[in-house]
Amino acid sequence: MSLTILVPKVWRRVDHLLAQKFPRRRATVAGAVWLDELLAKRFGAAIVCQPCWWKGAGAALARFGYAKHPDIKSQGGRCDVCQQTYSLLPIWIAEEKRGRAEVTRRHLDIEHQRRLAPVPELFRA
Amino acid sequence: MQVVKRLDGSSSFHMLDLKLSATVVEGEAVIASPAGAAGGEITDSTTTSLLDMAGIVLGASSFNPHGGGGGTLTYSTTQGDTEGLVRVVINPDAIIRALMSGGAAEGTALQRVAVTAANAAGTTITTTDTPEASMDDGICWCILGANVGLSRKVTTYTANSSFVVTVPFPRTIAVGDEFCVVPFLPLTTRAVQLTTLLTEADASIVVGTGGNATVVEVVLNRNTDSYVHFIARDHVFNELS
Repeated sequence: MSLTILVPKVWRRVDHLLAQKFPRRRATVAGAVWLDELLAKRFGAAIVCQPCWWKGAGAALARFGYAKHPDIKSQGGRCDVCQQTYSLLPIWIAEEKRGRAEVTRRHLDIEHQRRLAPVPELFRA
Repeated sequence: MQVVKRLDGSSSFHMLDLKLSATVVEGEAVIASPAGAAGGEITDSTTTSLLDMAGIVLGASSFNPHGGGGGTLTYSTTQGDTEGLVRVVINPDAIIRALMSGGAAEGTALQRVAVTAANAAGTTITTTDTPEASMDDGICWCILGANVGLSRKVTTYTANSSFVVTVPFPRTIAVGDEFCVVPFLPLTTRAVQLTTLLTEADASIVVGTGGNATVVEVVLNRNTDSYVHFIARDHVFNELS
């Protein structure tokens, strides 16, 4: 049985130039290594899906100190690694930028409890 | 500033990678670029205008369709430079959380207002060191004294003299008690002014001045860690004008 490609890829000159400028990951380069280069740039919010996390991106995310935000999700976003679109995807925050985005429902709950607390000492600066 | 949730209570956001017309910082409020010479899609808001707000910058974009690289927070028109491309939360109903700053500069502590005359009725805070700008229709809360942790709407305000609340504090306001007062009241306040770097809310301004924003909630802690939550009233996807 012959394989029929419905939409054949037509390589224009501009495609060749782009491919030279932005080479795709080669088969000899591990996916995690390629992702390392990306994560080393310290992005504010990387979007990585669960399958990519399981296939190796998780190790790179951990090594570079990215953590999954417990609440905030990307809705209809695209995975930075595999480019697939999902209804909900976690966002991963770089370690040094986590304080900026560290607003979880748990933290909000704690704040709500604290601001109503009747203990004066809690409010003394 | 950060997004914390949406008006429906959920916390899943639509994030887009958008091109810059100006250098931005993380946590900054950005607006849609005007048509014309601007080189990209979004640009800085101003401290007093949030017209056509696009959202909050999460960080440089890590997406690159050609596999490698990514964007940067820096806008450049130089050939060969990395493209200014940032990840922005674009939901019009996103609730944005901003630290209240006591001045135009980021990180300024809110002024602590010390009471100079006791008031047994619990309605009048007499003091000589209030913020200069009128906080009439703002909110005040006690950070030191018998009413600590309680807040009230300010209904009369005289700078450097006193301010009055209509609903009394339950206990006597004593000399030496300390209060904070800010120009943000949920649902009533329809404007929020930003600090110089556009990453915090300036709480030293007159009530009702600043960019188009409706206050949803205030989180009243101490004078260095209190927050205002607001939504944009003139979002580019949900325009007021």
